[in-house]
Amino acid sequence: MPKVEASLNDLKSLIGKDVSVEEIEDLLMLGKTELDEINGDEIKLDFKDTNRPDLWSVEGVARQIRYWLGDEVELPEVKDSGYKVIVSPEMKDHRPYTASFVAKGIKWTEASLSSFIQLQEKLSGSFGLNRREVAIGAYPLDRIAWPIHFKMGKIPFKPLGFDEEMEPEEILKKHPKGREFGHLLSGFSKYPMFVDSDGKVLSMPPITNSEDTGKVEMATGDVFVEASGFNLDKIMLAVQIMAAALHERGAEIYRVETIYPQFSVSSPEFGFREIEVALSKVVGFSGLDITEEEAADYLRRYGYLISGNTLRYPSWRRDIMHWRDVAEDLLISYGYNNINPEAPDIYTIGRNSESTDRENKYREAMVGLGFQEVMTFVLSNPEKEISKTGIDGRAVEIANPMSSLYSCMRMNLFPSLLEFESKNQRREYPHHVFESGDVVVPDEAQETSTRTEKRLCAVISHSKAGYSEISGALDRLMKMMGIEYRIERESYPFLIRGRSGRVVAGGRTIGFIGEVHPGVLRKFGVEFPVALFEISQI
Amino acid sequence: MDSFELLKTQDFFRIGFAWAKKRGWIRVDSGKIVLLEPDPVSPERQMLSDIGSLDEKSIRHLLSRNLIRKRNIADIVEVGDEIQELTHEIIISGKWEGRKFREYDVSLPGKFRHPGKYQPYRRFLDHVRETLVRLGFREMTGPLIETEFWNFDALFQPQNHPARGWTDTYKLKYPKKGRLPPLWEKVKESHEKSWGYEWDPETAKQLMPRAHGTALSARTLANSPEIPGRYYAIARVFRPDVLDATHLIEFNQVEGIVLDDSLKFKHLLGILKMFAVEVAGAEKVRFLPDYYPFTEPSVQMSAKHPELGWVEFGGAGIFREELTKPLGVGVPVIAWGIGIDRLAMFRLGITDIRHLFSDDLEWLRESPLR
Repeated sequence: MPKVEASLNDLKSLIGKDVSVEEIEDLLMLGKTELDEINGDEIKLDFKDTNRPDLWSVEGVARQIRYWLGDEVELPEVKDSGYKVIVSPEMKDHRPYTASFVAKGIKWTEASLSSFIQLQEKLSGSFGLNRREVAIGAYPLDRIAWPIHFKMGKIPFKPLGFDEEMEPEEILKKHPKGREFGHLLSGFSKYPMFVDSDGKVLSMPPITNSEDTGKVEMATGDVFVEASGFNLDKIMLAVQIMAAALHERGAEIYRVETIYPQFSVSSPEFGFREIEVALSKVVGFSGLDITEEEAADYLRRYGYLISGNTLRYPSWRRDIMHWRDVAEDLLISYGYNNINPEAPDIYTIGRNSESTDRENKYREAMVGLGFQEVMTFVLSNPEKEISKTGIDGRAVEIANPMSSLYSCMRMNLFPSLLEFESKNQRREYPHHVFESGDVVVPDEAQETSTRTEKRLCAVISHSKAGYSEISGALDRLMKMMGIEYRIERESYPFLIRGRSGRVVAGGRTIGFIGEVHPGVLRKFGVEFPVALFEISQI
Repeated sequence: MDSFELLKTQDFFRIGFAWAKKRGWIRVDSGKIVLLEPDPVSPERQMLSDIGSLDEKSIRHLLSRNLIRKRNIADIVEVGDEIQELTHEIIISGKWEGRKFREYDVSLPGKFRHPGKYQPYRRFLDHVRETLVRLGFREMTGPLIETEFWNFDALFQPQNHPARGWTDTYKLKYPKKGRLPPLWEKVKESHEKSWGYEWDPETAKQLMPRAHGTALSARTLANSPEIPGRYYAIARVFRPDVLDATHLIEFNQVEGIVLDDSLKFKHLLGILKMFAVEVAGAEKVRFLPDYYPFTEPSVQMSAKHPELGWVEFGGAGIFREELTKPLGVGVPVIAWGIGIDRLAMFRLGITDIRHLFSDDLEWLRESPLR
């Protein structure tokens, strides 16, 4: 979720009303925003709606709140200008799209500049898929010679934060943003650049602006803002959101025309989108006990213009795909906490799955036999599952593990219980422990190419732990479960040969039993004898 | 003679032979054994046949022959007039009549083997399970490894959604892909119509450890659920993170869905509140508007716990029609997913979340049942 740092007083002045912190928290709910932290005037806001980037700034969320407090929906006025950006044909295969606008007469405050920079980052980050689909840059207007060209180039310039000119390749290697986002330009011999009519480089998107022409500071009253990337629809939306935010700070917004080889686009273009739905349907679904007139009023206070069944809303909202989205807005405007929760009036019979019922019998039996239940992680590593046990096979492996200790799914329970034993050698013996849980094994025949299997593993450890005791426990267990079984001699790499067998029931092998081989015990760091069985729960 | 020499090397023979000779039951005559007593009965066997009335000398003799074993002083049956341990023998012989029982120090703790016991966190989960079944929920089950199809696509989460990225969920290296169910084309259509991108079946086939229990709800919806219906799961889920005192890399989520034509938003709130009160012992609940790609409206619940204060409890909502229709469900479906680790920690009195999967046998043995 996008989070920003903001000023409480700035937020209050944007809302246009002096309200208490408690009231602010309630009002922020209108924009699915949480007040994460508050420290004097410094606050942290957490925007929950990843589908509404128009809310991701104090300006955006304050706008939503103002509607509720009575403000009419108003679109920012956009003035005509002769500003042009010319896109050269070779951009098509490298960074195809851009759109932009100019804002004049900004009187920055620390809060508004910080908000502007954070909004730019958020829109380039999670919304712009880390600068691939959208990256945004801003520049002082007074240093630009119009028109601007968006083209592929190889012109050296000073990147932000550096005092000397560098070749684009060098910037990709040395500049922190070059290292972070250079992969977006890999394999290029020339690079996307905004260059003005004097040949000055404004920026090399999506990496960095120029130190000379691309630095917006408190004194920069007029700015040029562009967005570029692979998704024109998102670029147009990002430009609207940035322009609307600056407009609310008192800036005048000017149109920029972007001329592509085949067409041209002017931006920002604000307008209304609409959805057709009968209010009666929305009210019915919401379950609220209100009239259609009341519903219309709640929706107006959420930023809709309503005439008959036509609901209009500002074009920076892209989240409305279905009339149920309108129903949610109605409910939010009404206030979730003003609704009386009710239990559904339906009759159903509750019950557990067969596998849980069976598992609970196994667990009850094991506890009855005097075993302590343990629960370990399903995530494991190949060393524990395969190298230490000598088992032949391959575990289900994770492609992006955070730690080598948790890089595959366990294929047996017993390695985790041997690990458990190694950590408990100072705990009073004898140890009788068990785990009932899932293991995962590759299985081509399944929809998910793997099979999740419910297993039971019991471990006995003390100085005289041996086959007779563990097989006695298995026998008691199987009697309690009503399962007929037999044990057939079998060798396993982790069990002592001649003291191990496979457990056969229902005509198939369901598990193994035996004394753990001392070599395996040592690999797990266990210094006392261990006898165990592990079976599938049938 | 050969066999006699051979027998002499065996312990049991040597001992028996020596005693038989000593008692005069046999004699050795020029290498042959001559039987003197046809039906010998040893004095020891006689003593053992009447063990209740032995004199001290006989007891000493039997002890020396290792035929009986001496037990601890406290176990000795009788000393003088006092009965120490009440035995089967004393009860049936009536020897207890008119006798006194030796008094014990009853305040001393005795010794007993370690108990068989459920794992505390599992026991807590069992309690949650019981509560849900009591409230009319049927359990859903499913595999730990899912296709992205069931984890995301069937839940209407677009393929370019940031939450599907490398850092938010685990992916598999081996095996890599699974298969799509027959209804995949309907899901594709729904995505392409609403999100405006080209849906890729190969992305949907990729495998991953289940990242949320909602995958189970998707499977249930696609599998002709009962209407009206209530379903739940306690699902182990996996998220990339660094394991520490406040973060787990796998944890349990409580997931539920309710299906019926009559369901409204107030019922969603009602179900959440009931859960918070019944399972968590919450005093008050508060609902916050929230966003999930698969529900609309969406809500997050905070519950006021008597000791923890306001706790974020989990997300819920009514599944979008763009999700339910392709899966073949035509009625509103209320859905919620709740992480209950913090509550479990509180209930079990632990401060380090890793302790939910405790590897300390002593703590497991000694923690009281809660």
